Amino acid sequence: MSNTTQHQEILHQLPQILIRVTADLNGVTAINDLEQIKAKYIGKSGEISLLMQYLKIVPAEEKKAFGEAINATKLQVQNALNEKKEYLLQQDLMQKLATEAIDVSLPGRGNSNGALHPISLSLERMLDIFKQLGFNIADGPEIETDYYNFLALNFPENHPARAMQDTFYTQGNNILRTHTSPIQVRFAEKNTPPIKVIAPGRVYRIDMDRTHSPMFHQLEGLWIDENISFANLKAIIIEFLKEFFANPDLKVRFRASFFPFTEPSAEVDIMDKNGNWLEVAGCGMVHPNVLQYMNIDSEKYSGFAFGIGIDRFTMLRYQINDLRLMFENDIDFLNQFKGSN
Amino acid sequence: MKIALSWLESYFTTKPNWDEVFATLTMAGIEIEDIKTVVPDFSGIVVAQVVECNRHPEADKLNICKVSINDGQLYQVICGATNVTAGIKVPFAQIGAILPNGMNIAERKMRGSVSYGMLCSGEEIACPDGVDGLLILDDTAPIGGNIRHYLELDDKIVEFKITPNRGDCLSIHGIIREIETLTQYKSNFDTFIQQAKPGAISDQVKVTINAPQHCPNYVAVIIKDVNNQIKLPKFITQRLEHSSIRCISPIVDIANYVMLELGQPLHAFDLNSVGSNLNVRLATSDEPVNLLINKQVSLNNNTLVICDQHNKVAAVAGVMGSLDSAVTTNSTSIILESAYFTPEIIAAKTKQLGINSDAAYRFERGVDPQLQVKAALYACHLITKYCGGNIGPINQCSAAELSLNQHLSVSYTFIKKILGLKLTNQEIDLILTKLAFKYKTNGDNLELTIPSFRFDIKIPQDIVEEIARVYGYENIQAQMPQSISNLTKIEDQHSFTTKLKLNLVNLGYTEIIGYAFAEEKMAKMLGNADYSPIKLQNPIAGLDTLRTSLIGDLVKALSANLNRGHKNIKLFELARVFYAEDSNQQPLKLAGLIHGENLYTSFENPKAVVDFYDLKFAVESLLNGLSNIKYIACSNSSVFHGGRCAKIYHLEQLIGIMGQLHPKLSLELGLNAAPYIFELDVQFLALKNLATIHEISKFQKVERDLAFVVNTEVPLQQLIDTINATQIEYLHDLNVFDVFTMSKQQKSIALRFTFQANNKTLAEEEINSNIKTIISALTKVIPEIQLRS
Repeated sequence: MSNTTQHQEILHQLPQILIRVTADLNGVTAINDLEQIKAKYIGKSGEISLLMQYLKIVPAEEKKAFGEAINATKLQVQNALNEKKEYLLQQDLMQKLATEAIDVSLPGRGNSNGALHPISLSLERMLDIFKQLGFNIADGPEIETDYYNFLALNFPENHPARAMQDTFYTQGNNILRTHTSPIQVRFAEKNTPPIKVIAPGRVYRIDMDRTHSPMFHQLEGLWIDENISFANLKAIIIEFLKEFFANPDLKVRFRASFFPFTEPSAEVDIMDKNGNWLEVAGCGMVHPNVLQYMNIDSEKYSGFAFGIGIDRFTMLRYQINDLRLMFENDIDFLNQFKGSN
Repeated sequence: MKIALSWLESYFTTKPNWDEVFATLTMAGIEIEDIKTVVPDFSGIVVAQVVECNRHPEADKLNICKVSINDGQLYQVICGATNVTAGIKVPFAQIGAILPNGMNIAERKMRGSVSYGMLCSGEEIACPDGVDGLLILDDTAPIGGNIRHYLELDDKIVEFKITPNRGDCLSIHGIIREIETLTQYKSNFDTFIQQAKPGAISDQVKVTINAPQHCPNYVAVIIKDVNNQIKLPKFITQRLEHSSIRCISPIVDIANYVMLELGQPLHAFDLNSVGSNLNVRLATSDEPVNLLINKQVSLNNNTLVICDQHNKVAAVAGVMGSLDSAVTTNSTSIILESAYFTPEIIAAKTKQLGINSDAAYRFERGVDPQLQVKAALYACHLITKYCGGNIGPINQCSAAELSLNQHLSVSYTFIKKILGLKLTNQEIDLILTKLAFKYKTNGDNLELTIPSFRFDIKIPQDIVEEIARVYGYENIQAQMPQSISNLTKIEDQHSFTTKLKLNLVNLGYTEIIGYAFAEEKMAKMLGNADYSPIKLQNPIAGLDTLRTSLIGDLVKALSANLNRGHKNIKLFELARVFYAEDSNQQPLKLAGLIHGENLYTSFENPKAVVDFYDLKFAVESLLNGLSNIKYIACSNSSVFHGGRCAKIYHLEQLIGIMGQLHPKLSLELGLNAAPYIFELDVQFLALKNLATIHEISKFQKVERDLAFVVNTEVPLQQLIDTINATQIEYLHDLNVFDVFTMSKQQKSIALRFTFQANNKTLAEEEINSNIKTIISALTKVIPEIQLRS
């Protein structure tokens, strides 16, 4: 009877021991101290391990339950130890990370980026749009002959229309091209219709003030095929303008005008946010004389051409009010275009 | 062309809605460039009569006046003008008036007396008359009337921007024809153009035309007993002034007036100086003439001239008369010339002679070849009306081929096809009628007769434009083309150059754009010494030399930015350069510049100042994909530091140069330190290889590091070339990982060799044998080389 009582008492002590284990664990701050606690309770001569020696006094039919109860307690202690160890490991790691923390707001190492010139940025945008429409991109010389710059574009010698484009003369009879239109003729000489091409580049005219630079940039466009009409020209220009200025509601108008190399000819205006019309492009149906210079049968083919002032488009897109800023190459100005599209 | 609005309006019985008319004209290609009032805004100024005028008791130079504006009271005004006196009528700025200069008129006490307003000079109401003192008005001026109404200061001046093809619009008549075509307004213009009756006297000019191809029609008429000293009515001189045409003398003014109204330039000779025999011929080379603006010029033999009885040049045809033959206020007998000169013979003459001429401006754009007699008779009418005189018979010399009305054939289908427009034939017919084009239809075909004043209409496409213009560009529905396109070429130059530019941007370089032309000194100093620059024949702002290199503009931009306080600068430009030796070549170059600290945005210290190798990093990045690149030291450049410059070769081709700006130039340009600069020829950068793919070896790589001691002047390239020449099969990779100077004479170069075989793990002996081969090859080429332990 007394034996029974004794081993039952032992079983009753187990929760008390667990409470002490918990209390002991609470006091532990270093992983190494866990070993002591382990030894104290569940080591070979630990308090709980030693309780097993009472097994011999437990009646046979209760031995199993007694053993299981002790082992279960040992397991609980072991789990508590593991948990504490896990906790302490995590704590150590957190502490280590905390000491290794850096200032993430400091700048990255290496070169910071430079910037593309705003004219390049808007040209890229233009090229992207026209490439989507299936245009090829062509190039041409900047020192041109009178033939390509004027004559083949239906500017007869001494014609007053030549005075619209004040020309720089280089050597011989050569000039600095006054527009990108010569590329039209050069491209058409080497290709047969359908011709669908754009040609950007630097052009030169004798003019220098707030809104004129002696060197500026144009983008020329040419589409020649059977049945190309003025209505088609309007559609392409309008689509382009809306896309370039990212404004589907942009107001665009076509005004009758004159260029020697197109007939009919038109100026294109867009409406600014103040309701004023701004001239942004010239265009028209390719003049039959020009088609003849291109060796294209004007009975069979028709086409349109357009010219766009890239600098002016750039000024409008980025709201730059003085053209001269674009060629002063001031870093404060240029760096504003870092990462811009 | 500038025209006073009141002049234009005088030909309409119903006042047009001008805003609407001008908008329509602008859309149809007759652009209104500007509309200005004759004088700036001012208000509160009326015609007043000075009733009393007494010396101010306290001031010698002031008068106390009483003025009337017919409102039943007199106003006291203090006036300091010397020409003030009782009885005159003058502009009077009342209390509350605002002058053109913005000044507000209020009561003002002057030496104890109050002035209730101000009497005005011409200057003060923006009508400068050169008189020092009050503007004294005519006796007829209505007292109390608004001065703006009385002086017609509310008139507007309309400036038309006429394109070079529309010479027919360089007159009031031309503008009115456009208005009648494009709007519902109708004018009574023709009723104003009265014709004199010629032949009151029998005096006649004998005209000989020796160059009929240049002068298809020449009309001359003698007018005798004219008085060229009268004063023309104010409306004529004022209209001329508003068109920016200076008034000279009544006859000249009338000639100009007719030109502005009809578009036909006229010229008047003094009969007594030229005689009655005129000869139209080409000038001889260097033939001299003193123009009526008293400018001596010498002509060339493709200039048409009108000669007097002594075969002396009396006028450069269609451009300007001579001083000797000019009509003066003393002239009493004149020859009036109304001619048609071809645009080709007049073209570019004013530019050659360095003068301006309203006549030449019109002739070179074309005038109506059938207008000459009408214009002459109208001018005769005005001259005799105002200057008196008697008119001789009209003498007209016409070449047989004088152009008559042009005939043109065009199909309805063609018009609709080019415009992409669904119009009915009737709509087209209606537009042709509005244009005063006569037509006959023949099935789909239109047979057109173009009136002589539309000499610009020459080909079917011109008809297409006219139809579109009158129909309205705005009314043509936009439509995307229905067209099959070819595949666009992917290897365009621009995509490639864009990649190069973005590459540099990612390395911290900012793009600049320089002019193609520079000052000669700069262009030469920083130019490509292998070529000579092209000079511009007509430069502006001293920029007379096309650049042979982009370096000049990079350095210029560096200098400007340094002066603005910038540091740490990285710039590049991509553009063409030009060589006098071969102006067709125009190669595209890419140049970059660095200056200041490297990685300056980093927070770490110390920061390194950029050097050759920072620049080379960018160059290598741009050349990535090109094999067989060599950097050969170049010590004889005029632009670069002799010890810090390399020419860059791809195989045997020179593709660029890089280095530090020559310290001498740096000093001369006032730079605080010489920048590092590269310039590459873009065409060679595009020669990239398609990647060749090898099988990847599964076997172990073995690395060996060897440090070599060599003389300082031995370049790494020599070691690499020598090692590569051994063609060791298993040498997989070779890198330099350490270089340092040991002494003045010696440096150490440490190389890392990586060995790897495709089919086996390399044995120690094989590697050692390879190393031996390498060392012996190096020793052969560089005898003094030593291995550093």
